[in-house]
Amino acid sequence: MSEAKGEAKKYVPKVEMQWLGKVLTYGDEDLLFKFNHKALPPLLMHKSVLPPEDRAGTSRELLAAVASECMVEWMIMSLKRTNIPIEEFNTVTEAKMGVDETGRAVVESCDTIVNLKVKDEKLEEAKMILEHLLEVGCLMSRSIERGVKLNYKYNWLNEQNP
Amino acid sequence: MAKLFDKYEFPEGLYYSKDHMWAKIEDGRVRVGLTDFGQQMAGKILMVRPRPIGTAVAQGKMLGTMETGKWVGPLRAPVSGAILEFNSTLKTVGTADIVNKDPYGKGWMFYVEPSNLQEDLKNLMTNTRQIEGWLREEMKKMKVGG
Repeated sequence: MSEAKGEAKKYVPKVEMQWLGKVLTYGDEDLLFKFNHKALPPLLMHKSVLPPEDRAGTSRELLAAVASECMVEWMIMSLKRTNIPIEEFNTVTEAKMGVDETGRAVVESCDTIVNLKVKDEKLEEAKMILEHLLEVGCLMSRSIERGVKLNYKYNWLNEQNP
Repeated sequence: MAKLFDKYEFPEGLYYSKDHMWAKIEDGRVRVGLTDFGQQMAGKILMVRPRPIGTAVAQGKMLGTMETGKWVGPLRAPVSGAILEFNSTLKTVGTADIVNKDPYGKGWMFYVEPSNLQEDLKNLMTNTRQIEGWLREEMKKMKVGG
């Protein structure tokens, strides 16, 4: 059934990943991610051009991006709403590794350093806004710290009818 | 009696700041809250984080911050003075939206001990025409339909 006129299409966060192992010039570890968001262009993970020892770490980089992006968006919106113009803003996030109780590798923490500059006369207000933000967290920090359930299901394509 | 400008309520007898706050003088103290227009623009209020009781705040400076689903924003003092009391209902997600339901009643935010009241009141609005003119400008700025 078609959508009613004027009814907004419900946005569903969804990422499709395509394996490029059979595509000319790509290799077994090359992946193409397609996001369901207009602000996110496709992401090509082209590992095959790298020596094997340099290929690990891409997931951790993406996790670090998630950890910073959500909070940064939240900060920018809030400073804007408070009429605090941003003079400079950048962040550095490091995904720190550890091991779990079974001895397997895990990401233990994502540590973000926010470098921010506002006009001196706005500094006190900006600090209050950021204190509030860091106290309550953002969608991603709350979700990840609480423990996001990751569910996987597989379909054997060779068992499906042609 | 409350005056309505479009769908926004502005009760008479209160003073209004251009930062969307109201002030009511009660036995020498000033009760402060967010206007109906302010709460409608903010959307659902999740939590208010006050500055410590006793903090002296100048008119227009922050009494605390409020959290909505989209941003954390300032609550600016309509009058200068020390924070005497905070409505603790607003500290908790789940009850802070009383500001949305009853901005001039149970959703009050602070009591302030005023330090420069007569001067500060000159910067606040009580006059119906003044409020209406200002509100129209704000609605234009925020592109809100009347």
